[in-house]
Amino acid sequence: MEISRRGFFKVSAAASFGVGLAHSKEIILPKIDESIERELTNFLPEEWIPSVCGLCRAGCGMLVRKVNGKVTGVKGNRRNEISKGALCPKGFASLQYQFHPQRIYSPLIRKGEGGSPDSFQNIPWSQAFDLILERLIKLRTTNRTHSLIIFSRRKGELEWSMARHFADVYGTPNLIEYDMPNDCLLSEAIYKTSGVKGDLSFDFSSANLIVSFGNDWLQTYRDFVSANRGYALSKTSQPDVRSKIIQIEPRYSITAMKSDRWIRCNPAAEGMAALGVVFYMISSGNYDTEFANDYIENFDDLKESISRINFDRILEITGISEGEFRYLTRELASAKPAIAIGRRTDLFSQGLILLINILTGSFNQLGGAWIIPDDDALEFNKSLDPTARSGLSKVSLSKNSLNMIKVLERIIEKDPYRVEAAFFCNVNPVYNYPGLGVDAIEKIPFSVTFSNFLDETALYSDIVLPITTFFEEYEVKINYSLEANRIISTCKPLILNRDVMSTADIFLTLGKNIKEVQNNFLWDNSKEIYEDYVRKTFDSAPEIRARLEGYNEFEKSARSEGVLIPRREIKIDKLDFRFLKDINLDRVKVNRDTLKLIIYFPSGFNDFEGCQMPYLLDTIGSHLNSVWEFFVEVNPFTAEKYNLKGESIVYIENQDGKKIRARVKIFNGIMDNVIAAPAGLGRSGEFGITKGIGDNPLKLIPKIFSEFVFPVFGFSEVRIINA
Amino acid sequence: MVRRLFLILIVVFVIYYFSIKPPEIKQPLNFNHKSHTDLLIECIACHRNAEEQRDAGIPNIETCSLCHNPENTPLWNITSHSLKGYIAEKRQIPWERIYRVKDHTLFSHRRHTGIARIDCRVCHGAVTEMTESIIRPFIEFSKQRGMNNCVDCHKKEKVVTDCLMCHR
Repeated sequence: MEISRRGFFKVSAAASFGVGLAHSKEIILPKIDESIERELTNFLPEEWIPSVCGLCRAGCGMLVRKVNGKVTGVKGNRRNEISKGALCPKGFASLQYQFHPQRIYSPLIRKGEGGSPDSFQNIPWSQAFDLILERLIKLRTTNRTHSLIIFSRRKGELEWSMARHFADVYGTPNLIEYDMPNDCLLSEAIYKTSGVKGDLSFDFSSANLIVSFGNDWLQTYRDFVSANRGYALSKTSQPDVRSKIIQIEPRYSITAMKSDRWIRCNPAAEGMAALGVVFYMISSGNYDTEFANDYIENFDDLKESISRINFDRILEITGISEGEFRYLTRELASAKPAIAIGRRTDLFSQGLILLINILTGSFNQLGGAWIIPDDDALEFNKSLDPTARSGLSKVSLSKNSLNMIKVLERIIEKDPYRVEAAFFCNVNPVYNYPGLGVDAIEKIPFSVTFSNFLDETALYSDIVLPITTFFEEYEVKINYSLEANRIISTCKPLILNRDVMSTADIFLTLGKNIKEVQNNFLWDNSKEIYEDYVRKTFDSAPEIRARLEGYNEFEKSARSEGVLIPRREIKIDKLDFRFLKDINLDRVKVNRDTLKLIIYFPSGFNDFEGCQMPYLLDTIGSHLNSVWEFFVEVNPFTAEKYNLKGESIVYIENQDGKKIRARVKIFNGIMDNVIAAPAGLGRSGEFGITKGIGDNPLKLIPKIFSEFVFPVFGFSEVRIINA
Repeated sequence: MVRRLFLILIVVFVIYYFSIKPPEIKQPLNFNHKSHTDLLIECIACHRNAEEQRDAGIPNIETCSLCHNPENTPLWNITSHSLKGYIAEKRQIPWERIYRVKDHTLFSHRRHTGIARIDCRVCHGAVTEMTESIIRPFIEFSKQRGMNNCVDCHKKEKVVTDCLMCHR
């Protein structure tokens, strides 16, 4: 009998899979999805297939080019409701992510020290599931299901819904929506004032005025492809009306460059600038009185406490002149609808920026800022057993906090209980939260990372499961248009990859193999979960049912262009800003002599991912003719003061003695005595040629700086030393 | 005879063309620039975009009501009835536009006032002395002078005179 080379590989693969199975308990794996297999093997010579980018949460529409069944290119999908044909640099480079030589295609187990790639060994899927299930079942039998923590970035709704379904029926209250240090703009303030968990969505396209307090929104907005479209529309959509953009920050960022006026402000004092504007608006009576009385609880009390603020201190802290405050107030009071956008800083600053949106009378209005709740619209049917119910009744580690730092600190401090196992679903706290992430993961006895790469968090995990990319999986994306309408778009696999598993399939397998909960996991594979989810979405939205004829038309439309569900009115009672009364300016120290480091987030590294794609390393320093290296922007006066020369190498050291190494780039667009560095480099994960390039400036951010600075995203006082 | 008549007609037309003034534009309110500038209110306080954008912008009713509001009693008492009406109804004043630039021409206020720091009065005349609404463009910009006014200044200030800088 002749055996071909292909036949030999097939038999060998089947044999090794069989041997793997023989050594393990019988694990029920998801059934092979034959329909997609048939579809993908029956291809045209060339075709463009609609899909949705999965590299961040935005979900931009893509057209994927396939030649003879192989994916060869991507471009923007003009019909897509979210991106209207545009893609960000990451989207365009996504094939480098898909076909990266360092992607992992087999589950790995760690046999040695954490942090080293040499400690890992390949294991079959069945063995990996065996080890995970052993832990999970042990926790269940000892009634400690709550000590499992699951982190998910919620890049896709299917992934998130399955994680939530699993968490609920297994019995853990600790499903954490993982957020990045620069995520969510005002979510803490919204939660504190209204009790609603959600964030603001800004209608850039119809606003007459956009005032940004330190947010480089054209680069770092949650969905910056839409933000850029909004910017273009705001300048061109109405004849004779061009919106005005005012940027308040210490750095001449991309947004500052494109704004009508850049107002320089001392680093991390943007919240104070907002306080100055609120003070001026209230004391001069230049605000929408009716609107403010309707929306703000005890507005008179708030007015009184704000008017007692020492305005001279604000001038001193921010470095902004009184004339500029007058100008800002006049602009905000006369340009309705006007937006005030901030960034993820401390609660006070967020609260003040939210307050400005209300004082201008543009809150929850067309052209203003809309509240979008973390709307968990869909849940799968489930039945909870007593163990699950008991687990869910325990306090969650994210209780009263929307902040990842707090969750990581609670893991380290074992507050209120010890975490026994963790799933990191395509998230990377070790890189995003330097120091804190490693400390937290080392405190967890058993951790599993679901990832495409052996990244920094995977290097510290006990087991690493290789997962699908968006080219290889079923996924559903929900995002919001600029006018806060919901857009549902979906994608199907375009590449067949049987070595990896989607996150939804992993949770399905885990659920199917835990006896007490398996009746909640009746799907055969992620295709069935996808169909179930899409059907439920269709059934739950009467607006869609009236517009589209049936499920099939809805599914096709969601896949090719995204389906728009009109905004639903959110009933919000009065917002309670009482906490703003506690602002104490005497506690804010101004130290003019020390050098301050600020960190910014280039669009190529949005979501901190991008280093895997070599194209993107060309993009971060283009304004300084710098490629493939880490640099620090220094003002010419600062350079002279500290005896620094352009292109020289320096060490930047914080007060705790932590250091990073960078090349000096002389840049006029940064204030004197402030230096700026981009985040996104300095990766220690296994990313091939981009591993080890540059340094991670987030290492220098002190855990807690002051009550007015968000611990990570703010800035650090540093000193600079010539290398 | 016909030739003479033809010549007379041409002369009459030329005299008429160079003596005609642009038609007067009726404004909905009588606006006194002088009384505002006497209070040291800067042009950009109302023409918000003059230093930052292409068009200087005509103030909207929200801008007027920053000062003209019932809480500011002394000023409110001397505010005209018609303006009070617009403010109370939050209705925009239908100002008639005086200055228009042809579609093939680009004129940016930002470049002239924001960057070159040219005083508004250089092009718009003694607005600070005007006690009534502007009803026609400042004479220097009438069709008789047209583009020469721009080019003369550009030459004097040694600014680029390339056609494509302003014409597209």
